[in-house]
Amino acid sequence: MDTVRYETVDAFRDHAAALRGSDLARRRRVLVCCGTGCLAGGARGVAEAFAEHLPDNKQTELGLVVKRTGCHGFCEKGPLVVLMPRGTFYRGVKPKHVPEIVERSVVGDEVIEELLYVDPGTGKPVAGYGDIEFYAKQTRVAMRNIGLIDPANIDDYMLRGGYDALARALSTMSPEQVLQTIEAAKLRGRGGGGFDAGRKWRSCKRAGGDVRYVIANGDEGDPGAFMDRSIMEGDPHAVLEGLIIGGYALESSQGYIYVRQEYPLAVEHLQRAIEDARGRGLLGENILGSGYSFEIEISRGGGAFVCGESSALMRSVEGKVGEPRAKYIHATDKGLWDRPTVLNNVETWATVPCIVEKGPEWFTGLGTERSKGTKAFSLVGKVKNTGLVEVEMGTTLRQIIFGPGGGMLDTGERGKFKAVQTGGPSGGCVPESLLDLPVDFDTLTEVGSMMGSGGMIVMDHSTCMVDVARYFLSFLVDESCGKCVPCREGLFQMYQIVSRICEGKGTPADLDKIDDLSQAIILGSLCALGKSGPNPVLSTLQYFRHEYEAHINEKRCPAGVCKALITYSVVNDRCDGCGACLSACAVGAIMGTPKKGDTFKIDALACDRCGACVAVCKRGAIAVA
Amino acid sequence: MNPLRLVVQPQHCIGCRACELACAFTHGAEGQPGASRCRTLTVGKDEYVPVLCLQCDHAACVQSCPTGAISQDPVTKIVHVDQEVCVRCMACTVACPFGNMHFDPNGQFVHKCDLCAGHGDYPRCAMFCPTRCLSVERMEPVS
Amino acid sequence: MEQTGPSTFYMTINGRRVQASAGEYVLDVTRRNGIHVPTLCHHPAVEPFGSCRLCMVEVTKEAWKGWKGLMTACLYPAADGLVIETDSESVHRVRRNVLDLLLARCPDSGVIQKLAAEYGVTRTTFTPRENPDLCILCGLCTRVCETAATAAITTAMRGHERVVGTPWGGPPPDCIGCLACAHVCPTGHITFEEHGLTRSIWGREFELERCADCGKPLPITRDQAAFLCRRQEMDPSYFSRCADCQRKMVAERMGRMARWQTLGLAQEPAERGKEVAR
Repeated sequence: MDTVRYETVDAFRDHAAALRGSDLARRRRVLVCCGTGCLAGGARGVAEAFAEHLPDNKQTELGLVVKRTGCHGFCEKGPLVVLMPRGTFYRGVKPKHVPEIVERSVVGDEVIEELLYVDPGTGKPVAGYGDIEFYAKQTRVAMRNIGLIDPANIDDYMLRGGYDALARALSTMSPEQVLQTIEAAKLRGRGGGGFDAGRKWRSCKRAGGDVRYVIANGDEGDPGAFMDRSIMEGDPHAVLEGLIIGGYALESSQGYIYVRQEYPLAVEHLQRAIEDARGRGLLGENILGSGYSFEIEISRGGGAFVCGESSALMRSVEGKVGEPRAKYIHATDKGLWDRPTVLNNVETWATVPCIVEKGPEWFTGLGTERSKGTKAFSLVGKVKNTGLVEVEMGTTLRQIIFGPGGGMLDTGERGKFKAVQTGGPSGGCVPESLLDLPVDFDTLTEVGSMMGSGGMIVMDHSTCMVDVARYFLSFLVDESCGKCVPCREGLFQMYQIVSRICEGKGTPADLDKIDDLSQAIILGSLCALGKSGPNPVLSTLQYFRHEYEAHINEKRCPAGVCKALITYSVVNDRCDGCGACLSACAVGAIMGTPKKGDTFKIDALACDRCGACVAVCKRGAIAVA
Repeated sequence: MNPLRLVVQPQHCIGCRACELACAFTHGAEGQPGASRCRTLTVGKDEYVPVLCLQCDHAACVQSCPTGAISQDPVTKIVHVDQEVCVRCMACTVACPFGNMHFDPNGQFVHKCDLCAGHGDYPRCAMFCPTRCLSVERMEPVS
Repeated sequence: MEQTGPSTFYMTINGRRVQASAGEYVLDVTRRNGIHVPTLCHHPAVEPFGSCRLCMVEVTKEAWKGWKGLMTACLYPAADGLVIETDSESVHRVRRNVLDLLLARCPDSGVIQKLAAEYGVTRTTFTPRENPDLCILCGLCTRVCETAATAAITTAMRGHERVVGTPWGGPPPDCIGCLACAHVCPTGHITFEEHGLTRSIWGREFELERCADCGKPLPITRDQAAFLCRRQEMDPSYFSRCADCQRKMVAERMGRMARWQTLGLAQEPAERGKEVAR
């Protein structure tokens, strides 16, 4: 039971200093990653094994603490265990490894080679956290604490400097000064729009009335994006601190964190953080004795991508159906319950305390001319190291994908880089010719894509770009709220057209139709879901038109993906008649006499192109054309 | 110009129904008496009463309307139906205690006496009444 | 909300200078000035919705330095110095596609066919819906039910699955049978029937109110009468007689008073007799 409560800023500062100077701060740390990715890999078992082998008294005896942390970002390699301060980084840890880790690396001073991460470039194991390229090439600002703290422990957050920014703001800055700090930092929203946060806050401040709201958008609906999730799960106090500071600047007394339905762990951790912060006097009535009061409530989504759109989100918080409304009247004038409201992404809020603590010049010193600071990206797809990467704006795509990303996953011609999809279903594909593009809000938009919330899906030559466009369209058709005609009907019809192209039924006129319809959807849609809906199609058409043309004119899928356009056949001179494919085939499309390789055949009409035969054939005797 | 008031003195009514015809023609229904907003009823031997909207200050039709389509003009005091807002729910046709709100089944809209506002702004029924049963007065201006 | 600027001002629409007031939408201004802008989901009885996108107009302002935006006139606030084009190429591209898409959704709708033809679309260039009905999902029915009745119907599901629906797909329990939805529906998708004393709509049957004097059916249902008493705060006696009977009653009363007038009497003779007797 936490009995500490700070009645004044000084009380907070004294306690923080005491914490940071204490023995607790100096102890070695055994960090067990319990982010959702590692949990799925069995991290709970690992954490329990550590609890068993290193009970509290043993921890004190050895002068260390064992912490369950949030997501380190290197999700491909989980479950992860990191030993600080040495930085020993173990990957793929199982409960059975724990006794050895405790004996050799915790009590002892050794490094267990088998558990180390192997650098794909050098082929050599890397012992230290700081030497792993995935982390070495990152500049973690929004994700500064994740993986290093126990998100359920407010002291851990304070040990890393947490709530110093709030104390500074409340004691030495007026609300106007805080606002000016954010304006000077040129912080652009990290949710997808990239709108200048300072400008948004200023418009809200200017709107009349005495009730204002601040909202953190934790809906994160883009497929493949999980930056906000790891921040909410792994460093919830960063979001709270940002919101409280923002509320102070805007003279608001009520904040909301909207968390999507699919993130129960984030809700749990945020709830705990809110209770702890409230208990300490960092949230609620008269924060740190400053006279400023602020409350935060969590609002849960109902499972709709469209609720990530700010006006739909606000309707959802109000208890209504999540449908966007016209943005002619800005939310900063009439937003939540028709009051002036500032809505920003979770990552944006998590960045605010750093800016207030270190000053706007520190922030503007990072990044590019028009996009300051850093950005967290979720790097997924055909890369060796999938996970979360935070880098300075202006880092090139090549640096991200081949640096922390570790390069392409597969070898050979098909494994070569083809494109990277950025910005989720609202974004577009960037081809190889643009790999040296420095990533920032504007550069990506200029080439027909967008940064979006930071999703990056790397594709190789086994990906069909027409199929990619079809996939994103199907997602949007599913998630469209259905209020306006261009999005509801238009995206659906566009999906019909692209699907037909994938099925080999496309005509050259379809490409003109896509152009005309896209323009109408972009111009006519009510909200950004519709307006950006055609982007995946348009950008793949821009850079991979030849693929569309192959599908239409030659009825051929160059990547060998579109089922209707590919045929599976047996390469008889490679076949040894083992019959593995015959057994694997679920529809009985393969015939042949056992041990007689030249008799094996695939019935093209019965074959449903599932690929099971290719997977089991050890002789590479099945060809896909 | 002071607002108009239509004065009805039924003791002078001779039941000629010129008022109904005048009303129907004025409002473009080509003389179908059923489309008139004024209905002259026979109440006894040689006793007739023209019944038309009293432009009530606290009108039942105004209060009954769920969309707020009916309102009284503050200057002219005429109670008016906004045809664009009206959703034809028929509440007003029932609510009027004097039966002065009518529904036109051909045009599918409700109508009532509007003192010929927009059709010459002077009640035609009064112009054509031969006995001055229907006559027009100017009211005191609204303060 | 603070409103800066003058309360009446001028805008330019299709090169014409027109006056407008703060609080109006561009569509109100075009209508008042006889400038035609097509709409499907707009109705003055309910708040504008912005779902059909037909009323799209091209807007610019001097401060925008040449940038033009497409906005729905029904929801875009009239403001000082707006320059609006109601029939530019972009506007027509949107309208044409919207109507083409609606024609694919409701190929049998005469209203849509007519509107689409005005923009050069006689047959849809998209994949027509299978087993189509006439609902264009304008939302007018649900919005008018919410505003003027009991919110008995609403939209359900999302995106292409969106439908105007009722709780659990069954007959809506809150419906009062006022027919407002049927009357605002632009395509005639919502139908109803009336026979004798019964009105049926949305799978429900309603009993019409009867005149307490003559027994003829009134044009409102019993549920509707009860609703109006509650909602409009009126006594049930207002909804219990037909217009003919009301008129007869008033005519008889007025007739009697006229008789007294003729006889030079201040009141009914019988009453006067009683006075004298006392």
